Amino acid sequence: MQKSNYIFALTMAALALLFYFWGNAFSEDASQWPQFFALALLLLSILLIVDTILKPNREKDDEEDEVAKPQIYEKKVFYSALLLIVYLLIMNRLGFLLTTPIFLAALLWAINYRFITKLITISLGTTIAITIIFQFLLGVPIPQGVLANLF
Amino acid sequence: MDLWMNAVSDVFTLTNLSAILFGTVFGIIMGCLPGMSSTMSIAIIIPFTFTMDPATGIILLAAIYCASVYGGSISAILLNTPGTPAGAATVLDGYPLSQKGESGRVLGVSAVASGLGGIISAIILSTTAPFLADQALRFGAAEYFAVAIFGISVVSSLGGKNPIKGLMAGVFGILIATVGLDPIVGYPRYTLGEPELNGGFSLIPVLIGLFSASQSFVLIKNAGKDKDATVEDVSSNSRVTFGETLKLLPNISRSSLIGTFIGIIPGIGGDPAAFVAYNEAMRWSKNPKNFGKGEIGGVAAPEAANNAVTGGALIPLLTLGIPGNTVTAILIGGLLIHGLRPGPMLFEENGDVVYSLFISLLVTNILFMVFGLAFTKYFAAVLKVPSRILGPIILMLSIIGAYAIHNSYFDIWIMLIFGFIGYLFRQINVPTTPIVLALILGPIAEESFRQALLQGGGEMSIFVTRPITLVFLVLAVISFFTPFVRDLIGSRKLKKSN
Repeated sequence: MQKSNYIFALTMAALALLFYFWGNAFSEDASQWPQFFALALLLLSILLIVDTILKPNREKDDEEDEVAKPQIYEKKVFYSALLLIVYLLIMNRLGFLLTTPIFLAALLWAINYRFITKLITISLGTTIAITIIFQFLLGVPIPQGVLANLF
Repeated sequence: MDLWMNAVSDVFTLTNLSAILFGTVFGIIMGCLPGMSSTMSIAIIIPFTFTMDPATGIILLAAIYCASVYGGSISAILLNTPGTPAGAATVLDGYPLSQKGESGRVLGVSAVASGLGGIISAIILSTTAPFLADQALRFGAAEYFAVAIFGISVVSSLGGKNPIKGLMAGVFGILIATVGLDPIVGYPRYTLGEPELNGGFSLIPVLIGLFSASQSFVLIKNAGKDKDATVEDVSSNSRVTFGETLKLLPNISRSSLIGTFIGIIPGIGGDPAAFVAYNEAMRWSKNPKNFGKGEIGGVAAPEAANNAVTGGALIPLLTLGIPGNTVTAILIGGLLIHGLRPGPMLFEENGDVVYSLFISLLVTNILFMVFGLAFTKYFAAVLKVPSRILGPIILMLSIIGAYAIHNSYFDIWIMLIFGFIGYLFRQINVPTTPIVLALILGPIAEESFRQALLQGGGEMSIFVTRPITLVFLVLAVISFFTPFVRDLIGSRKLKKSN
């Protein structure tokens, strides 16, 4: 947890500096509030670094011998994020109905779901259920893309 | 009285009863599933309420809130894993009893205690909230600033073992909330020239991202790692009796009052309330040694308390506009999309919605009590759904939910960014609730601070010369520093013992 605390504190400090200096471009009235809190965030980031150095075991669980290392990078999450970005870019043009079953099937496959029949059923079922609920029952239009005149 | 009568006729319509029914069933199912919190359940449903009548939307969300807290006890009792954090104390005696083949009886007691806890707190809410809201009508900008600061001050107690992280998340939320047009002079701040950011980050996509999408990433990460959980069967031969319920009534009443009171205090929430009630039940019991081994009072107490928190937490939300915990912060989102701003004016301008909410809480608590007694066996079946199916489905609902509010792709990207932020923060033990509290209360605090300064001729003394303002600011200071003082005392004790 120590390493992630340092990374978190440094990221937040960088964000605080960005908000502070960007705020210089605003009128005095508009800049005071965000700049005050940007400085507060900077101060807290420094405090977190100092605290982590002084109390490295603060977040240690009583039952555990070592502080559990956070596993942020996980292949499955990475692939899902990648698929999601591609899906959103394509959905913008092709629409929800055409892209969603493919995306869901690909996502389930990416996370090692190998029951083909269930995979197809879940992908199609979820797409149809969401379309019926939002488009027809609630009257909220879903992104239609090339099928704009279908409903 | 007219408001009450209108509320009764409003709730007992087919639409609103259907909303309560759906909310109750959906809430119990989501509460059952380990890892699905009340917060996530509500965040995912908010977009569905968008086209509904305001009262129906709020009634649906409140039903999910109450029922999901109860649902958490089902997995606590049958799976030894609480479905929601508030169900943690129920595990202690619930699981040992179900292992003894008494799951039917334990689930019955849990349903009755939860329902009664919810009903008692709903009664307290509906009798005290209008009075408190009436008092709060006299608030000016300085008082609103103090109240908002009091609400924000609880972020330090939300950081778990590291209060600094809670604070950092809160300040991060305040900074994120400054994106958009300045509330007083209308100057665009941090908008990158993007007109869609002039109004700041839309609250609902941010909420869905932080609580639903991030949870779906966690489920995807854990896909295939589902423990070979042994779900205890619901034994139909053991049932709770009327006599047993009567015996448990003092315990349930005490625990309900504890839960309601703790619920009112911002920043504490359902799980501590359940443990406090559990300890009190043990202290008052004739058989304290049985607690932890399978004592029915050890199930009734936390269940009554954690459901009583629901009514308690709605008191500061409805009367002052302060969300005391994550769920009520999300509920603010549900109110705002219908143009309802929580606070004393809500009672003046939308009294019909508020009173309908009160009545619906009573109906919901009765309904899930009945469902809990009759159909738990069927709800328990969802415990066997694997997380790798749930993750992608929740992600899909998050995407379409974020889009539905303004029919905007931009909102989907915002949701996704905050989904990743939420996921990363969870992995490194940074709480996400302070972000939401600050995102909601930050703009209120800034606007009222600057308005109060204008009214006070630029003098800061306006914040210390008005008694109510001063009281809330003092409370804010106390609430802010309490975790640090606790931390300091803990460290000293540790040093002494070493």
